[in-house]
Amino acid sequence: MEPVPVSKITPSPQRVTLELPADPALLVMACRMVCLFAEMQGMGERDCQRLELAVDEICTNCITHAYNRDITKKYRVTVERSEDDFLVVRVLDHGEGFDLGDVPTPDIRCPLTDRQIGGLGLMFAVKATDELCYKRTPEGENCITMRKRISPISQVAQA
Amino acid sequence: MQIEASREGNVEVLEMAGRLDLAGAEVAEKFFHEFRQSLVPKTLLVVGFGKVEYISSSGLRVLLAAFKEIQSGGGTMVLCDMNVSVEEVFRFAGLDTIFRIYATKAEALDGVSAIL
Repeated sequence: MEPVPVSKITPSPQRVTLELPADPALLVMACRMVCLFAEMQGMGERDCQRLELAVDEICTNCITHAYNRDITKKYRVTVERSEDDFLVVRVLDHGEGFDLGDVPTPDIRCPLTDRQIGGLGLMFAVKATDELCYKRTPEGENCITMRKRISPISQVAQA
Repeated sequence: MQIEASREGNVEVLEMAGRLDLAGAEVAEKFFHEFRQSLVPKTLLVVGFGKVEYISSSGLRVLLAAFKEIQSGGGTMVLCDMNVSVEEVFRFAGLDTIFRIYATKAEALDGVSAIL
């Protein structure tokens, strides 16, 4: 008898949202929540790990850039499955608006002496997902939306 | 994030464990700040990742800063024993061409001694 995928036998919630203070120690909760949801939807292990990296980097930007590590401020992470079988993660904060185009693209081929890490987080999130976009919501929130196709076998990420 | 320091011959060895994310990087940064005070010029350092389950750009930033500092003192630092997802993050950042990364600690100990 063919094994039944977990996603077919486990009742899956439509959408899960977590609100967290801008505390580095709690960042792992956002990652775990998204990974667990992704696993429940049948996403392969390597893709779950890449999605974790993307979520971590975007939430890190919320904590460090939007809120300057002020733990009284909160950001929100929402994850859901789309009808076209993508996992969709949204990260929202109330920091100042920005333009994705203004974030410098790091030169990952330059020698050690010139090597900078700034902008690497966003680059990781772009590499680790299939789509990433930013918008400023009418409510005055920054919203980063990431989409990653749900595939039981992870595809090779492009380095 | 936990970091255990030891010495094997003339090589300093650090074994890292846990998540090297934003919170872990803060711990590691503090550790490296104090660790560097105790180092002599031309330090040979092996950093083991056998128990590191995860790394983000925050962790890379700390390692890169430590590497630059050790190199400026005439020493060097190599890495070893990474799981595939941690190694992929180094590759994403192009740091696999900056750091020497060995499969095992034994290879790293041999390798680092041969560099200088």
